[in-house]
Amino acid sequence: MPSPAPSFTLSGWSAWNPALTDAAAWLDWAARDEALPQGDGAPALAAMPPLLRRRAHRLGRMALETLYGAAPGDDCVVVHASRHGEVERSLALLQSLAADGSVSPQHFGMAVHNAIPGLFTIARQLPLPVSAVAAGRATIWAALVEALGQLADGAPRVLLVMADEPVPPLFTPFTDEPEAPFAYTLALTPGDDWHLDWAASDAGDCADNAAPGVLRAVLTGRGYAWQSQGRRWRLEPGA
Amino acid sequence: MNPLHDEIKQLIIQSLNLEDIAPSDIDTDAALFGDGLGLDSIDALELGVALQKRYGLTLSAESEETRKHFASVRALADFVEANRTK
Repeated sequence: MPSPAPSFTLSGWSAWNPALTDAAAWLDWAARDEALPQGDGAPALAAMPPLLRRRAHRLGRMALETLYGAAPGDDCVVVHASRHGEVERSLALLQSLAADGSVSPQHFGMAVHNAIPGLFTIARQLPLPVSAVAAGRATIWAALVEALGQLADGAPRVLLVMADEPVPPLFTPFTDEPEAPFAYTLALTPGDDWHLDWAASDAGDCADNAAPGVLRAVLTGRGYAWQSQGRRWRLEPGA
Repeated sequence: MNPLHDEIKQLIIQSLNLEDIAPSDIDTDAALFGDGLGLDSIDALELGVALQKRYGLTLSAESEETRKHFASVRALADFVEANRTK
C-alpha cells in the first residue's frame, strides 16, 4: 500500500524583494501572476547586531530578513535553500586567487553554503539544526523534501529559507530560467493543508523559476505543478 | 598623533567592513579582539592578509608573538614599523 503523500501546514511566511517589501505587496504580486521584479536594494536587517550583519551581503541580508520575520523560536529547524548561493562572492574569490594568489578569509567563510543561517544561529545563540540545500532548478523542491523529512522525524516547526539573486554577468550566458533577487521563509508545521508529490515524467521542462512559483502557490492557495529534468513535482492544497 | 596609527585604523575599518565606525572611535591602546572592539578570529585572519598585502610583512598564524602584535593598534603599528618591506 502506498504511503500517503508528505504533507504540511503553512503556519507563517515572510518574503523580501527590492520592490516587494511588505506582506500586502507580496499578496498583490501573487494574485497578478507576474514574474518577480528586478531591483538593487537590500533590506536593513536591523534585527541582527551590526558586528555580525557586516558579514552578510545582499543574498544573506535578504534571507536573514525573512528568517527573522518568520518568528524563529528555539525549537525550530532551519532548512536553507539557494540554487546559486553567494555566487558573486565565490566568483570574486576565484578572481582574486587567479590575480594574486590570496583570498579573503572573511569572504571564504561567508561563501560556504550554510554560512548565512550560521550567522543567524550565532546572533541568536541558538544551536538549531541547520541543513543547506542546492539542487539546480529543482532547489525549492529538494528543500521541501528536506523540510518534510525533518517534520516526519519529529521537528515541531521547520523554517524553510529560500533565497537567490541573478548570477554575475560572467555567468549570464548559462542562465536557464528567469532570475531576480528574492528571499522567503516558510514556517512549516505538521498538518494536512498542503500535499507534495513527485514522479518520473517525460514531459518537457517548464520555463518558469519554481521558487517564486511555490511561494505564489501557498500565498494564493492554488496548486502548482512544475517539471524539469525528467521529474514532475506537484504541490496541492489538501482536501 | 602617529600617522601610522591612523592608517592602520583605516585598514581595519575597510578590510573588516566596520560600517558605522570612524578611526577616532578606535582606541589606540584598547584590545582589538574579544572585549575591546569585539572582533573575532575570522577578523584576525582577514586583518593578517590585509597587513601582509599592504606592508609586505610575514606573519605566522600560530605563534605567540603574532598574538602580541595583534593586541592593539599601537602594538600593530610598532610591529609594522619594525618589519615592513613596503
